[in-house]
Amino acid sequence: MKSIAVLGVMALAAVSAFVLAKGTAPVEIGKAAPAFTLTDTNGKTRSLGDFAGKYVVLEWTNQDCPFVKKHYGSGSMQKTQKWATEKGVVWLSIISSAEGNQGFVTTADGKKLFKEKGFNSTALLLDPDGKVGKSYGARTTPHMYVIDPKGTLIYMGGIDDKPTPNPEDLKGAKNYVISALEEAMAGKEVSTPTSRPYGCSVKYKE
Amino acid sequence: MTAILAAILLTQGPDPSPHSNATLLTSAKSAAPGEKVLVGVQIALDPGWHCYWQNPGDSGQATSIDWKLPKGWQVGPLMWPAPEALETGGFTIYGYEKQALLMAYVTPPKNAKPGKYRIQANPVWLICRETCVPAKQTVVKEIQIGANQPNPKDGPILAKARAELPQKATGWVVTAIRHGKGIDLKLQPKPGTTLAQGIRFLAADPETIAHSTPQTLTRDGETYVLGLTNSEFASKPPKRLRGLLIGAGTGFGIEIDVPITSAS
Repeated sequence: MKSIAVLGVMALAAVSAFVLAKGTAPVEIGKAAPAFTLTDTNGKTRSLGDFAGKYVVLEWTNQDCPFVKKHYGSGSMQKTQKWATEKGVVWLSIISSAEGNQGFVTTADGKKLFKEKGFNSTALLLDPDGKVGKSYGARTTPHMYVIDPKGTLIYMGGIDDKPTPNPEDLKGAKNYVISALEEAMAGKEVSTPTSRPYGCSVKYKE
Repeated sequence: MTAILAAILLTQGPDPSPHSNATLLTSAKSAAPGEKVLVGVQIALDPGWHCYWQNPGDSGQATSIDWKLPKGWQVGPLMWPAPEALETGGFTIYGYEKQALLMAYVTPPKNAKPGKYRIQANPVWLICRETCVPAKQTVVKEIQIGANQPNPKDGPILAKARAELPQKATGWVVTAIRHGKGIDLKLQPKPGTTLAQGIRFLAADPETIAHSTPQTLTRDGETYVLGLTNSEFASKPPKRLRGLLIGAGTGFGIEIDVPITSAS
């Protein structure tokens, strides 16, 4: 039996005393989001610490995954990125595909991708050795995390509540990233701090 | 002739069900009004590719079937063979390799008139290997209303698959107790059944348990205890534990469907 990395830990704030087993890469709602430093597709180094004082969204992506295509092909993801960044949110798209695996891009190709698909993220970060992805327990594309200005994780999971690759399912879908940001920015508690992440598996190094 | 074939192939467009092919199997060619008929959608998969169970696990998409039946016909719930737990890179998915045969009973109305009736299934699935591709197909077969007449080709295939479906936990005593870190699945198998290391619980509902965390089996007198870890993505503690027990001592799988209670 292969050794299996335990993914994470979560403590629900107010609702109940529902506690999970500690993992090897603890990522908990209500705790500090793990620090990281990655290079973006413009060759610029980006660290989570650079964005202290701002809301940060992390979006794991793979442009060839049918679930990602649902969100990008329709323009829905780019629209959400624009809405968020216009509100001062830092949006970091991250590709953790290993070289040779689906989704992997060189810096040059990543830069082209950003332009061609009309990304409205702050930056597209490349994580080909998968270290940052694994430190967050990112398991699907898309997989979303929202971090508050204090560096605390306030949302992790799926982008919305319709776990399919069908563009028709965008209509009426509840976007958990938008609601987490809206609630937190209004000083309210995030009502859905986590939900099922869905999509293709992140194509980590074997 | 080849020019015509080439023209036909060119106009067909991309294959809607890549690396796989679905067929509709019916256990009867003819059935009496009001008599249920076992049918199944059989998805054959290219080597190395898989499709998914009702809970796909850490990624993927559950296979689904939209039935189009004649007026007044009913279809029962989908019956899923036990999937395999396939692990890569620390993540687990629940799915089928080589083939998936999902079954259901269709029942014509008691006042169905004699004649031929069209049974249609529209399965939708995600087929993956290193990459994933959405797939769908429309499959059709006729069932006649008249004297009972089995389907000699499909009948045995369906009967075998039906016999190999997971069994109800008849004679077992099963409880699920929530504690701080997870859920203890307590099992008293029916007399004569022993369980061994290697049994595993597969949750039928996503985000009930952490799919990849090892499940430890311990003994507490006559009771076996399988330790499950909570899913980190459940927004509320789940109230019910539904799924399958597979592995050593469970035959084709044992269905589990119990409320989750708190430790007193």
